[in-house]
Amino acid sequence: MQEIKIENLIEEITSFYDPKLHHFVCLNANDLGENRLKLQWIFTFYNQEDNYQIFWTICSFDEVLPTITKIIPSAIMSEAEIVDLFGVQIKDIQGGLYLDETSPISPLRCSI
Amino acid sequence: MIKSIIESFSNLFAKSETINYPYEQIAKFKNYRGLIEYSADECIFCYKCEKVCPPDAIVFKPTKEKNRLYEYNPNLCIYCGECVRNCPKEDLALWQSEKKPKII
Amino acid sequence: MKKTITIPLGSQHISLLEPVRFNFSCENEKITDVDYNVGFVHRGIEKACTEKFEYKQVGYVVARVCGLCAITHTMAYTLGIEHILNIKTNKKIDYLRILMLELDRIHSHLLCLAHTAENSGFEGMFMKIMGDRELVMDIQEAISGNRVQFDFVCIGGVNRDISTECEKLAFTNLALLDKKVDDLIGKFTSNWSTALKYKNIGALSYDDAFNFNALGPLARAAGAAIDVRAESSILPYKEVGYKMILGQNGDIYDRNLVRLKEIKNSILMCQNILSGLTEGEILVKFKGKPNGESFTRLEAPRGEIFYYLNANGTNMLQRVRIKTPTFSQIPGMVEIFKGSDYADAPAILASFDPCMSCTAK
Repeated sequence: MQEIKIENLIEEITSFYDPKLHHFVCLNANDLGENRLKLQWIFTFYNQEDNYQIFWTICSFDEVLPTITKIIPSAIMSEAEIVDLFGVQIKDIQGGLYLDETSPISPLRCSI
Repeated sequence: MIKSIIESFSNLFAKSETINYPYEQIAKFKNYRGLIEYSADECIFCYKCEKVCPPDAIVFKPTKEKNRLYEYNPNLCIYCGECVRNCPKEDLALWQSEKKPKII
Repeated sequence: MKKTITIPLGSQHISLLEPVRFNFSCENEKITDVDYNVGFVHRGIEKACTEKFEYKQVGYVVARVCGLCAITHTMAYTLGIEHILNIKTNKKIDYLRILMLELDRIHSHLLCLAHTAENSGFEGMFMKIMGDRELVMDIQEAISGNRVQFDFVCIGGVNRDISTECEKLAFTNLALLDKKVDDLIGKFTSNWSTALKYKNIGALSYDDAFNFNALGPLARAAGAAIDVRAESSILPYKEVGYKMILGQNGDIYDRNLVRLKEIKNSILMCQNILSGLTEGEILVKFKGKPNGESFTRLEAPRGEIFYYLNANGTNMLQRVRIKTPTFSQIPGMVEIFKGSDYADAPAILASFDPCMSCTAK
């Protein structure tokens, strides 16, 4: 596990990620309460047993987060999901993957 | 080509894959998970089954008497059998039968 | 003047099993851009797992995420919570779990193949494969007591032991199925409508498989050795005769063949397990409430499934995160669609074996 700062996210992941060696599992968000959101970018290594590399950070709900879809195209799904379910803002990512106008707003947030 | 011709001809005389249902019964396997059955005489009212039931199909309703009344909704039940496994008097107070729920 | 026209596929379409909507922007016959909508069946299961159900019940809830890989979801959750609770299971439990997982893989792959055959206009083959699939479903029904929702795995072990009758039934059915799969391999390599016309259609290159994080049969057909069964020691796959199966071109033809060969491998694994099964306890007793977090990966029939669990020492879990195979493969699928003919789109979509109830959970 490695803690990173949200400003350095793109540099950290660019320097770490190699498509042939690392597998991006998903981006996980967890609401810790009191306007704190824990984000985890979970990677594994191909051909290695049970080896995880996890980048994590704690941010607030007001921040606009950077997107990593330029480095990892398949991250767009995870990012769109947390935009919908947690109501965070990610640059260039729109919600509406699961929810529409009549749905509850950011259902997985515990602080609301 | 020849193989497929032989196959198509043999299919003409092969046994049907389907069952002629209302006239022929579908074979049931042993220990099929069916309705949960209950005996009030043996029950010790620990309410463990009520606690573990995932869809709340088993509910003990409060009554004027000392013991609560067992109520079971077969349409909510997912037939997982968790209640039976948690019952301290398994097979006596609570058991899983092979019956189907009634169609209302 | 606008050069492209937009043709939708879904949310209801004759070739779809589940609701998904693709909007294809087409230039003449060729697809140039794809827009997707996958969230038609969102049920909020992650929310329900943390607010409505206790941790002992969540295993039965997550089984309802998907009908086809019900056992995989419960298994991934159970392995995660066992990691938090520090429960060590014995060999017999592990083997029984692998047995059910592999039976699940066989019938899921057979469904996908049947569906591919149906999309190529071969309705008779569809019926035939679905008929063969009953052999596996019968084994599962005999073992678990139910046809679709098995509820076989529980925290600390499994709910039922295998009787000798079940074992006998499993051996005869698997031997029968083995012959039928050999026959199917012949049909999926030499028949025009199920095999030869699909060469080089919907191909995913080796590099793109890595770039788009492809999983499961989609990646393995492209030659990329991506399989959680080889990368995880959580279940003893190597002891039961697991073998990685790879294709070359990543087209529909290769995907079908990879699936068929995986069925052969799964049958072999099941036979190995059944012949080597020992006597032993099927349930390990445990105490305490979960506290901590766990990451679990498992190979579902369609690819990698991932569970993140966070528990805080109470009966309720704090967070359950479910990542399913189709969910992260959608960008890869979109990439494959670009550049192929519109007429091939239903066949390509069927060969992905997409599971929308998994994706939207």
